[in-house]
Amino acid sequence: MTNGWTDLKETDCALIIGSNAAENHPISFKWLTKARDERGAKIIVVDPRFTRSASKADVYAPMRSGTDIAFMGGMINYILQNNLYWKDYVVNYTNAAFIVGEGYDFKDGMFSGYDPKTRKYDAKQWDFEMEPQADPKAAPKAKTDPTLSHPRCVFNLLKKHYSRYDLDTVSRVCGTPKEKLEEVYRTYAETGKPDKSGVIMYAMGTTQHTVGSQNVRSYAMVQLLLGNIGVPGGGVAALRGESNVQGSTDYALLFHLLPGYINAPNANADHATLEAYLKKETPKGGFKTNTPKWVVSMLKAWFGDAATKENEFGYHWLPKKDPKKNYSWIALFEAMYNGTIKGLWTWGENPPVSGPNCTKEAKAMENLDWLVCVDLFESETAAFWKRPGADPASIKTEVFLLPACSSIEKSGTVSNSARMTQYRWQAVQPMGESKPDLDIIYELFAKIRELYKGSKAAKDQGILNLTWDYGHPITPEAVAKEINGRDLTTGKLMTSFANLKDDGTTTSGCWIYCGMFPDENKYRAMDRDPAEKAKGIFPGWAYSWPVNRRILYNRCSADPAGKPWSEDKKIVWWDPNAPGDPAKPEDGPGAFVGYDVTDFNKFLKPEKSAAAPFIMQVLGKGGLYANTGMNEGPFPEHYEPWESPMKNAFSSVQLNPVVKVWEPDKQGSPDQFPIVCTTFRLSEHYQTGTLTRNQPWLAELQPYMFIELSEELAAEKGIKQGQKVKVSSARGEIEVYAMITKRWKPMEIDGRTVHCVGMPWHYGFAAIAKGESANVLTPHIGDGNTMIPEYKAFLVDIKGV
Amino acid sequence: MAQPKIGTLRNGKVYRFDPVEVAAHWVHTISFFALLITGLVLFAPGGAGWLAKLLGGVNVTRLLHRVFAVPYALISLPLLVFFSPRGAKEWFREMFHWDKDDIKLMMGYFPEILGRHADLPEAPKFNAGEKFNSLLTLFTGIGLTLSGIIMWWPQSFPQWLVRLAYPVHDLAFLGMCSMLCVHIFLSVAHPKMRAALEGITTGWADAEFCKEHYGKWYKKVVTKG
Amino acid sequence: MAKTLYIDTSKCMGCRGCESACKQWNDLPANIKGDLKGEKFEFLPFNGTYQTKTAFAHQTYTMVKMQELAADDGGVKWLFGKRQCMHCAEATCMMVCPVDAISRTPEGAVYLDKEKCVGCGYCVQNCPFNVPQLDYNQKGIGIWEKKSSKCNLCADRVQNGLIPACAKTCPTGAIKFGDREEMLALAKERVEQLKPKFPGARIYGEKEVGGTVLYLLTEHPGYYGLPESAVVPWQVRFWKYFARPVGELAVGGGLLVILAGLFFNYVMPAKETPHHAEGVK
Repeated sequence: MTNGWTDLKETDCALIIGSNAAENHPISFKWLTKARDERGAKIIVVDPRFTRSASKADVYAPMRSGTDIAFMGGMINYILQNNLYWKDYVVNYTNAAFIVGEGYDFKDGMFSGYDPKTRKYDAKQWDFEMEPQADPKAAPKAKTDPTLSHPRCVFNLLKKHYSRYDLDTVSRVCGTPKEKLEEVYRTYAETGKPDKSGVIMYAMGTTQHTVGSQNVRSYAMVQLLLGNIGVPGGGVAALRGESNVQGSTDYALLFHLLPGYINAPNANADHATLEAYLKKETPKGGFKTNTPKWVVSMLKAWFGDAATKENEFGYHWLPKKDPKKNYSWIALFEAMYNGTIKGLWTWGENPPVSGPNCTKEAKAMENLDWLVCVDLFESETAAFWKRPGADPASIKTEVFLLPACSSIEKSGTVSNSARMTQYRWQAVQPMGESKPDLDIIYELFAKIRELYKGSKAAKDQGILNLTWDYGHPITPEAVAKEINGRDLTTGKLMTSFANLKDDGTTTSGCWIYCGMFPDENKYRAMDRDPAEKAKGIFPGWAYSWPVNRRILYNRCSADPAGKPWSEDKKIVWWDPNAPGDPAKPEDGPGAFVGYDVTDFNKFLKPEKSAAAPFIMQVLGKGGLYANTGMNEGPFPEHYEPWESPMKNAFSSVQLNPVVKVWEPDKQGSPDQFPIVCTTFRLSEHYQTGTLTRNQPWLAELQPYMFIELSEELAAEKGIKQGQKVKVSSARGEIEVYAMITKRWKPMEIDGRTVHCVGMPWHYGFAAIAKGESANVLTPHIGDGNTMIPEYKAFLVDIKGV
Repeated sequence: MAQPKIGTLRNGKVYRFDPVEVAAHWVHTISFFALLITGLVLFAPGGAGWLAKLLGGVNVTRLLHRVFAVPYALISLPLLVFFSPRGAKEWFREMFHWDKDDIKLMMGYFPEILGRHADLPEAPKFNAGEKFNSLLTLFTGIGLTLSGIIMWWPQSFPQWLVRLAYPVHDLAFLGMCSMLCVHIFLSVAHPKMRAALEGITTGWADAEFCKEHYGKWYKKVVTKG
Repeated sequence: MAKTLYIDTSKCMGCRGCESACKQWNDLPANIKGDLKGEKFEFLPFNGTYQTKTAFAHQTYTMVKMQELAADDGGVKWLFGKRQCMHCAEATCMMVCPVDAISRTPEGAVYLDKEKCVGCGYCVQNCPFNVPQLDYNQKGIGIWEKKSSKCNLCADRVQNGLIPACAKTCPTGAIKFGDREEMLALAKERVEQLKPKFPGARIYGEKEVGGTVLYLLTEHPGYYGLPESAVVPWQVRFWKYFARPVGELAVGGGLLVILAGLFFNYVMPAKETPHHAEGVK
């Protein structure tokens, strides 16, 4: 989330799309309910089915799963056509005025620079026209036209691109009635005023598509057009799927990153040395110019005294990716399936339930020599060898089940969607022999290192030199201190990442968390001051990275002169009488003050900070146009899901051109599988249900796997309420209960009636509440950027048993 | 030994009731008392806690109450109707046949109970008090049985009926208890009336007593045997 | 000071956190037939809705009633109403309980003491909201230990300065707990606020059965499983105010007759009168 949970109470309109916040993030509705009751805020829910969130919405619009870009493209078009965008904000804080180079082109669904052989774009073609710079080290600047009249300025390209997303076409694609579309657009566009703000809340319903990343982009663009970023009650709110999934990405539980969202090194020549790597990964402009400080401090934290300038701070001990290889989920299981990967260690992971085409993934696990499963219960993963249909005698995988502690049996932090790292104190003693994950990994690595003892091989030196001196027993605090980092010259804990250095005199395991442990006795994750400073900001409650900032890009809440755009939405502002920078007395008084920690050097004169309010961007402005970073192109363009009931109405390109098709033979056709299916979660269960389906109080809340379908589809298929039905896709078939409900309605798509259905994906064959897994049906295909599987839109058929 | 005819006078006693009538009376009596005692526990579990303990607790009492309900509801009346149709006929006819004399007798009965003289008309086989007792027994029996069935299987009946069953059961039970007091007193402790106890126990009642208390019947039925 | 729950259905999103919090605090088992360890067990059968708890049970003191309704605009409404004991001011269960197992706490809750309960089931049959339910434990052939059970409004928590578990866990503030007047004022304010959007909005429980747990309903009470007008059942009044006193009076009368009969026959017998000697005419 660019803002935070508590900030939701400041909104004037919440657009919930690709999320079922009421069910899966109930706490969000604590704050939304406040916003609605106290501010008269509107809640809009866009979802294929009428959810518990929809039941509390002011406006509900149905939308066919997998058509977010069409839906949001229509909104962009609506905003632009009706001049509902916030011009001052757009001109000053976004890249709307940038001139795009002549390499950019868009024709029939394709941007310029596509190579069909590699299925990749050459993003250079999309570059801006740059101002010539005398100093090669100076921050780059794009050519701009603040009048927005240049035909190739971002604003006009945007206008042109989305002019194709007219209400009729969007309605035909999304299945949303035209008047509903208009109602949503009109209601949400109301927030494009200085004294109004709107938030877009999304979750896995947005991301788990072949165009998931571009879906999110489309939300961000609407927010920029309406000036909703950096203001209270605004922002793009990624509602993370687990209590600590934010933490897991922050600390790089992703194959392509180092902690703190730094690209992981690969085996290419431009990453051959630390110097080369830093040169490649450090942009010329924006806050990321500090990348060398973060990387070197991280290496120092990891390898301690062994990391020296001479050995490039141990850079060569980091594993390097094979640049040609993909290490995402689907790829890993394909590799297991092909016998390349021989061992698997899962921590609270449950692929036979959660993996796409999970039958195949369970089958892939049969090729493993060994499998270690760390969990609270014997999950479907630990029991995969005795799953229904498997022949245990022929499966040679050696399975180890290590009992893990539950969250209340151990101490430690979780980082929630609001980037807030909160400490949780141990409440009860662990059961039996169960151990905290931290203890398990601690002992494991100690043992591994013992096995490598005395090795002189270069490849082993990273293992031997890794700092692993947390004391015994290991505590989360000891690790947190390492993450926070120290100034090695004084031995003191770092107070901010602003002080990190690239000369090896500072450490920090993850720069974004630097400052959370500023003093030996002050762990800010433990802070519990419930006082609200103002505008939903509770600065004394735990710690939000970076530097306890609650609203990212908060410079945008004030105009270029530093004056708040509106009294209601003010959060930081320029106070000319505030004491100035003590380091630069010559600059005189004046500083940004307010309720939140500023996103920038608060002593910078307002005009200067206004030039780059999006500090993480190379060019400092909010990206209506993404010249880099998105594999599919600078503007989100609608492509149909891999399995879709209709031909793409916007171009002849059916599928996202950059996705990798893993199993071309496993694609279902709309003739055979005419029904659009999506998967979802229930508030009653958590993830693959290992925790909840084993807990009687929770298991009884939703004890059965079911499929939700409309009364109309049930009538057509002769299905009775509560009976068993067979649901099939090109990947498999499952038998589940039929839940016939008014909450699903057939949709008018491309001039004909298309039925849509949905299933929870929490079920599996283990635990006390059992059911067949929805992911038996989902396809092995992922997003063009993140490779997250397309769980949310695929084709099925259904028949009564 | 052949059954004597009703009304046979032998050794100063009159044959008033055949063994079926006697059995019906006592089956009813015993089951009613068993229900009364167990019911008391259920009626006033607080006050009758000692009684519940004596019976093995409320849960056992609940079972016993149901056990005794079966003979109470199912035995006495069918026994009488099927095995002594004559007795049943007499009983039913008498309890539903009320004439001026009966009313008069009913009105003047109270002094009699208190051992005071009352100039009472002659009675048939059952005097007015007994008729009243019979009526009450029959109707509270029906009420107790029906409401009891409803309370036993509440799921099978509409809620309003289940709710109504409780007051009906209580009212019938209390009404019957009230009558029972008089009935027991007369049969056990009343100097004159207790002769009737012998009649309902052995079937033979003192002839003098019968002559005095069931004059009409005596004249009509009694023959020397 | 009487305290009450105030349930604002317009804020309830059916997350059912209250259901689990209730079970946790009151240590109620899941409604599962059979032995979880023995692998032979059954949940309540699938009923085609999210509302898997359809009735109160001795393991279920609270549940969120769910109702799907066709809306006028062709869409759908999905109503949620958290149900539990209504803690009536004129509590029928208290009136009918023969052992005073049900009493009122100083805070205003109708408290059912399982220790005192003898399992007669009167409260079960007569509750206008069908709240209390019997827990059957077989103790022998045909012998069942029965105990009535229902929400006690977390009397143990409340007496120690906490609020009931359901109110504590509710994320949206749909369940509130506080002084009755204060809650009623909130409800009255809320109903005015909601009227424009929910013409059917109303307060429930202000007068019903002398005043109950307060509800802010957005639709007809029937959709939440609440009777339109809840009163003490007439049968209970008939029972309590007629059948029992009249019956007891009758029994008293009967006993008096015995006493009088004994007295006048034995202590003060009448003088021998000649009529007896004369015999029957």
